[in-house]
Amino acid sequence: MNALRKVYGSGPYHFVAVGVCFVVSGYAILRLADSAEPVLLAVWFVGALLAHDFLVYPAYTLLDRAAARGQGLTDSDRASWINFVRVPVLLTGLVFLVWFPLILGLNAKTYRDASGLGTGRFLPRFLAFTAFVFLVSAALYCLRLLRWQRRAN
Amino acid sequence: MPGPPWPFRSNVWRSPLRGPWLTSVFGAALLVGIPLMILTGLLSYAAYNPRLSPNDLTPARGVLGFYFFDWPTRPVWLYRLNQGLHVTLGIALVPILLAKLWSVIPKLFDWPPVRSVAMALERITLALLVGGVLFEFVTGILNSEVFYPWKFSFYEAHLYGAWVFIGAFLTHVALKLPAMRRSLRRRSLRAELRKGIADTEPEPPDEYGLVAECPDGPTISRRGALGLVAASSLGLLGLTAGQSIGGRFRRLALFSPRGGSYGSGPNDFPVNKTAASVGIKPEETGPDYRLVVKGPSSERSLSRSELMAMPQHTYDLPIACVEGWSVVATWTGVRIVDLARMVGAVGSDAVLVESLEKGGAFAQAALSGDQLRDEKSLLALRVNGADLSMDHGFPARVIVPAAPGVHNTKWVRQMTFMASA
Repeated sequence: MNALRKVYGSGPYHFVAVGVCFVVSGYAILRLADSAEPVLLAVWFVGALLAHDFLVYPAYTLLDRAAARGQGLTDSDRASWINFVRVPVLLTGLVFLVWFPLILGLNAKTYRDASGLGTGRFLPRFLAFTAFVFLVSAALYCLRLLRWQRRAN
Repeated sequence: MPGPPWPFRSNVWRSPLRGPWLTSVFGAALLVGIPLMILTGLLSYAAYNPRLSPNDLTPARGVLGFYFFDWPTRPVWLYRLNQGLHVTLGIALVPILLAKLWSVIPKLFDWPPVRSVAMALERITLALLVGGVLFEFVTGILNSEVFYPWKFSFYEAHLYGAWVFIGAFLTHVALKLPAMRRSLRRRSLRAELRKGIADTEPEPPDEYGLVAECPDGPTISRRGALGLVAASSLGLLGLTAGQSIGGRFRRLALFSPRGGSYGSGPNDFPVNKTAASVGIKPEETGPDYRLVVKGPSSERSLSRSELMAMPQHTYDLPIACVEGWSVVATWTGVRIVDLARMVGAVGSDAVLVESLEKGGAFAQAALSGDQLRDEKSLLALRVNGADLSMDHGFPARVIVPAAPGVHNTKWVRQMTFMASA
């Protein structure tokens, strides 16, 4: 047992647990390799991973840090506005992330074939939704400012 | 000794919220959600009855169909519930999944990247875990919007990708469940939800390397971050569920492909393909239309008025798409078993239903023996008290309780009852 720990770096439980993945996922990868488009599938699989870890994650982190730095210039206790930007950006960003093909009409042809409808209604809806969320957030921020001011007086 | 290169330095990570407790809260939520996704996904696969060869869209599946069973016809809402859950829950899990990935991203930049064989192997499983879950969410969500920026088969991709993920998920749960339970016990959720931004302090230094070594001051409380993730998840749920629940809730599905309102006429409900898109010509569905019904030893050819002259039956049945949306309608038509009887094939194991569609994966579908003999399985001629519209499959379409939408073949041209084995 000690020998295993020395060579392997963990105990038998870890070895068996990792083995489960190698058997099950390994078999699925073989099935994938037997499919009609194995290379394309692999590209999308790896691409999804890389896109999240090296594009999406750094992009939103850098944006958020830039906003946090911008906020640092004001008196953060009194007028912390960052979450009044973060929340609407996140909510509308998620809606866009999930439904961007319909919002941008990227799937207009297949969507018309499938549903008989155009994608035109989604962009205005999204813009209205975005405006609504940001307005609500701005209104809440104004209320908070007023409350602070009253407290300061 | 010089330090590691930039992204691997421990002072890169600044959020005071990261830590094993927060990761475990997201992990616990996913530990409920992901198994439900897996279960409904595997059931959805079985619902296609892929053992009947015309329904087999994944010929390379090997043993992955080990659990197949004859998909039942009761309860009639079974497929509707399964697909609605699978798609709606999947969309609602997006914020939680992204939050979980955000919370553990420092682990991607562990330094040194590999310290032992065990760690090297585990990191491979983690690449399959994260790659797998992202691949499944991307392919699933885009398919639900009929957006295909790829050239591979969605069915193959989503099935084999799922099993790559399932293997890695089992391993991850086996390895991390104890740490998750330990971490959750270290803090009380209720106490954490009472703390505002001023009381938000980093978790104590941990053995996992999630807590920042040089954290910035908090700009949001843990309560705020958890609330934001929960609220966006519920928000997406609320924006999606309406296309599966239907009725007045359909209007709430603002951005869903089958949300919104469809008018109040008998044929005003969503379709998954239009007559025009599959090349149905008016002359094929006019007075010269004939339904060919074949049995092992006899064959009949029926006009629509002959079909209308047969005993008609009316049932309220849902039609539910693999893409998650569904709707209940009142269908009227001929029992499929009556057509089987007409050609002496009541004991048939399967019926192959062929459409007037020109090409496409679902221009034909096979129904199992149980499905074709169910008294509520109809070759529908009317819906909600009116003739079927062209887009709903005029002159005649199949409607089978609890069957996947695409197996409810529209514009039926021919039904071939297979001999019983």
